[in-house]
Amino acid sequence: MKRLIALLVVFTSIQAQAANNPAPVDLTGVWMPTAIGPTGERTQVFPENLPFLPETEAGRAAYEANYNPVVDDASRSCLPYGMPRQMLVRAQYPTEIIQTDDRITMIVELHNDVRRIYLDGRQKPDGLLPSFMGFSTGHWEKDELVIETTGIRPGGYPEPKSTDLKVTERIRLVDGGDAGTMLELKMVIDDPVYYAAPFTAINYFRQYDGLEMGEYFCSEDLWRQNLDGRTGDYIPWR
Amino acid sequence: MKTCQLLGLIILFLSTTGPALGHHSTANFNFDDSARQTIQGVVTYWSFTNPHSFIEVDVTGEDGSVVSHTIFLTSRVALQRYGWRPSSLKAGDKVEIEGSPDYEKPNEMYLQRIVFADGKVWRRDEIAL
Repeated sequence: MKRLIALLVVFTSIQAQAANNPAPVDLTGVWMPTAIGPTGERTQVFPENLPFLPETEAGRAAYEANYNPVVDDASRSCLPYGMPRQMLVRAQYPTEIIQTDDRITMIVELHNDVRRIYLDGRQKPDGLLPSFMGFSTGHWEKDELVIETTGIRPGGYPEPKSTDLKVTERIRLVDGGDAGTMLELKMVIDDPVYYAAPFTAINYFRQYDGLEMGEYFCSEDLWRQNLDGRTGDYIPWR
Repeated sequence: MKTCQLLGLIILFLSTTGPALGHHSTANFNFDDSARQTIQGVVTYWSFTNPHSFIEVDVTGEDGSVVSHTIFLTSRVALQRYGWRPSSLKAGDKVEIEGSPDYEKPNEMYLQRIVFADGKVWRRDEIAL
């Protein structure tokens, strides 16, 4: 009898562990950013009175002295925004989230870029070169996905980023009323070189029936001009 | 197209208030409603592309002089969701275009409203049903 009870205890504990393994929510879907939040009110991405400019004296001086959008804005050469801006755009370009057991893969239509968030507890590999999207790991806290991203490549659009930049996101699904289930993304941006303190940005996403990802290659205009024989009078996109 | 109709219910536009939330540099355009300008002319070139589509229009002045205007729109992938197609415009179409002018370049605008050759109207911020 004791053995039977022991077996039963072991069995139920294995079942309990198995029940803890599946993710609490599934974020899979094609998500369009929206300015209208879950309450139906318009929302702002950034806190009030915070221009997305450096707040430390040193940061501001460096920014104003050195940051030249024509030279430093990689998106002018059709490179991606990368983190953190990529998740904060409100323009009409969806993000596809593909959730699997060991990772979350996000494909962002704007600039056709891919972001991976590893859920398997791995550490950032030694010597990993910085990238536009950075290196992200995530874990679930109740029904929230908590993501930490470092290794973000300095430079890009539209703000300067130091190698100390760390981004922490909390993503969860919320009830958007008539808009259906919405995805809420709260992001803490912590860059001690350029900001006096970390600050929080927030973006919302919603779904639409039939919405699918499109193809967006930013450099296509250059090619199109070439095909049309207009290389002499190409209008550079600013 | 269902998707387009549904998306037409949303007001999603590149905003230049506060931090630039759109990509590239729509900050060049004066988006105040009071600054809008309207032109009428003939399409000479239609580029339906990413990252930004654009239309070139010849506008003939009262004195007979012809000035070429360039009107920018958003990307092809976004316009398609609002019903635009490669066939939406072609050289020779007579159009009326209302746009937000470039701060510096006198003949460049960002499209806000267009009357196509067939008389159909498309507004950038229209809520379509």
